[in-house]
Amino acid sequence: MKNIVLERIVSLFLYVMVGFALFLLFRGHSRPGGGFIGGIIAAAGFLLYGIVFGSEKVLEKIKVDPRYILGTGLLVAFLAAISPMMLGKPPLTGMWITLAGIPLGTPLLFDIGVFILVVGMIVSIFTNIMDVLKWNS
Amino acid sequence: MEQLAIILIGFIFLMGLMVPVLRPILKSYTGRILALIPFALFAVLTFMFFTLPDQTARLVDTGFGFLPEMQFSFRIDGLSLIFGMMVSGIGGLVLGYSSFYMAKYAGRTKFYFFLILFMGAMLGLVFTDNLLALFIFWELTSITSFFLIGFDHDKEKPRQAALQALLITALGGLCLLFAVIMIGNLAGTFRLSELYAQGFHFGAHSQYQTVFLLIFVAVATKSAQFPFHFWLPGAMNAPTPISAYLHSATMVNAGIFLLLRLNPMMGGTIAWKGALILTGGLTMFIGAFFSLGQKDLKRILAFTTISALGTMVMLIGMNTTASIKAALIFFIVHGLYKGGLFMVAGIIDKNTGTRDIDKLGGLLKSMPVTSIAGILALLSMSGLPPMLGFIGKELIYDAKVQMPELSWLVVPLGVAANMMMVAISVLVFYEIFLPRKKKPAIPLKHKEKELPGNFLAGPVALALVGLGLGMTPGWLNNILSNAMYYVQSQTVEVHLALWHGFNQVLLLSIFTVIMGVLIFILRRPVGNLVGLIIQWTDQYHLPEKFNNLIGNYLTFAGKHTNRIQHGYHRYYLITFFVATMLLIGYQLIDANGGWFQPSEGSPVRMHVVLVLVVSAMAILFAVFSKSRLAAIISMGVVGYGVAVLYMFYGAIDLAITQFLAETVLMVIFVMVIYHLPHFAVLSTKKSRLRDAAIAIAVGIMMTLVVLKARFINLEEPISQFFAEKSFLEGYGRNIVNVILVDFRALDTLGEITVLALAAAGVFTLLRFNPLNKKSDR
Repeated sequence: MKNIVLERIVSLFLYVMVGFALFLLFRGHSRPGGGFIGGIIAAAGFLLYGIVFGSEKVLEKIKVDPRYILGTGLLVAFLAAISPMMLGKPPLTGMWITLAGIPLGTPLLFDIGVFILVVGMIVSIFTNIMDVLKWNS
Repeated sequence: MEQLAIILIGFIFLMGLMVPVLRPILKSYTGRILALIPFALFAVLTFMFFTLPDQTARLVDTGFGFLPEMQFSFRIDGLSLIFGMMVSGIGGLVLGYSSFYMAKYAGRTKFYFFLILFMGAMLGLVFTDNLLALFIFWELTSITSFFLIGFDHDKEKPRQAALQALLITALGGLCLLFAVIMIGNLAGTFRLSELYAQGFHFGAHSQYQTVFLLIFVAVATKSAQFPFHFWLPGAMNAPTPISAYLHSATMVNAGIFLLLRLNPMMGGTIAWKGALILTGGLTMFIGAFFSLGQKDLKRILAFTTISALGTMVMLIGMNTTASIKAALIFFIVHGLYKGGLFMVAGIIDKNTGTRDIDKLGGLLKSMPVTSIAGILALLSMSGLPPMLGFIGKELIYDAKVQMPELSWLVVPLGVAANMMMVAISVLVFYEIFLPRKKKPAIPLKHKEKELPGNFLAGPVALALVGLGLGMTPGWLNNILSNAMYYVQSQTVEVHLALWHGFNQVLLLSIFTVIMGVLIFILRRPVGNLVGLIIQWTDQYHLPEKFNNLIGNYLTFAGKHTNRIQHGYHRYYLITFFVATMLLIGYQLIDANGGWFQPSEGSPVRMHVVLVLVVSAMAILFAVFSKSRLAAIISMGVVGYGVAVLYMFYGAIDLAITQFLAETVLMVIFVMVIYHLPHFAVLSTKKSRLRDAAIAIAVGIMMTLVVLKARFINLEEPISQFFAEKSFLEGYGRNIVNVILVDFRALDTLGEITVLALAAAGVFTLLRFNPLNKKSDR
């Protein structure tokens, strides 16, 4: 079953969702949002895309094996966690610098790690399920 | 200088870890080049050997440690210097030796990796100043030696021997840990230097017996004392360089070292003397006795090692000045000749293809250099002049004769053991090296001249050192008196000489040698007798008994694990819920405070009620639904209902998360559900009733918990703290997020790790197909 309207909407909607997810990620520290929520929203975008186009198209779209995304997320979060140790502080100490009035710090990096991991995890799980159960093929 | 020594030890560890990188670069020179580090360390230690003044210990603090009590601080005194020189010197020779010996083996990277780490661990063990660090190094030697003994891991026997060695020495390691902690608590410090400085001795303390028992088990397992001696002959399944190293200067001597180290704190009590003398004497005798019945050269040597270890333990147990001196000298003697003999055995094995003393013969002619080194080592082993072994044995006899209350026991035992040592030395000499008429000379694979120098260097160097020290034992005086100061905590002047004068001890020696030769002449009947006894004791074959014990233990554990981990998800859930319910229910009833205060209730809001009613209906529908899809969707309704509730009460972040998670979950559920068979009634009515009862009870409990939580304040709530600090120190107004990524980031880190693992689990579950390994992907 091919539905051109649905396909157009979904492929546009993917960008909207990922963009919104990124928006939530970065504003999350001060208003509702954050890495976890953003991650789920971005993944939901890919999920929708996958339901319409199939899992292989999703993998083509993101180009990287989702397992690597997942690992990268964990790595980023872990680096954010241990980076204060370079300065002799206990791990997970929040360190901040203010650039042009916007405070940036390791918790933000940590949040980004969470975001990447959640996206990778959900995409990895649902593409695998779709692939194995021959969903949409 | 002492800093340099410690840096070199650290360097050895570093090189060990670097072996996988270095070996492709150094190729077949790995062993020889890596041997330079222990030799450098040996040179540094030699310098200290000549310059270390009496009654001083050099302390080096690295300032590095895991705990304030567990600092890696090091001490260099006479005792650690003697052990350290043996470990590093023989270690260097062994590395050079393995360069050729291991040339044809696969897995040389692994070999060097573990051998060098083992060397580093052993050096750390002897030089450390901290009892907890000593424990860590002790365990490191156990673990690395496990990999070394099990080097041929594709064969059953080495694997078993390695496992046995590991289990037994790890048992000792645990005992050591307990003992060390108890000593540290009693004394208030874990530092040897402070313990020595305080003159701490707790022989009269009520906990002494326990500590001593633990230490005794640690030593007996590590140093292969009866009845734990059986792992050592098994350990000779390792390649010969490893046997040479484990038996001569390291591993098994760690127990001896520990006894000497702890002697100032624990030595000299009745328990100490009794236990160590008895076990040591028995082990000494058994080892020597069993060595007579062996045919395999390495096995003979393994049993003589047991005997030598027994001798040292016994000497330390006697705890007189003469006996400690004898123990120290004997450690050097034994390391020199045992290392040499094992290397000779390895050379013979490589060059002839056998280690059976019945097949070997006439090597003196075909391999003169090896043979002479071997013969010198044998001389030392049987305690004949002019080797250092002679001095060692004289000192041992001296110590035994001077032990008034026990000399009736230790002298005959010692003489008997030494007689057998002499006999076995002569036997090996006669069978292997002498040209014989009946036995054809065994063909060689290489002429001796073709063997590389570094292969022969080991045994030759060790034999020459033994000979040289035997001629000029005066060199050892200083270092021995320093070591004695720290072992006995009193000043002792040491004067070693090859010739002690014509006395009782010399007579004993002469008697020993004559008797030894006599045993050798009567070797047929004696051999038969030993064979009979070995057969008889084989009924109580300890390695097998030990394996059975471990096997039974595993079966027992497996049976009970199966009972607990039955694999039925429903029973896991039942266990979990019932246990939680009982524990929390008990606490709930026990806790003070009311349940509900009507005055606190807020007015009923219609939209909340509506959501609750819808959710409740969805739950009922899910429970009684006959369609799986419908059940799942109604569960989704419940999830959304909860999310709406969150929103009503202002938890926006939670609500969003709940909505999203519920959505994604729904989609994935639907994907999977589609492929499942239709609902079938698999459970009986009875079990359904039981499940319903448990479910309702858990629900009631949760309700009560929520109600009660309002009235229990175990700690000051920290929400105020979060609210205050969130913007000031976390730079965020969204408290939930600041908690997630800053205040409680450790929790989040743990959670996302679990998420990653879950994804990996899903992947494996879906992709793993044992029937069809090469699946489509």
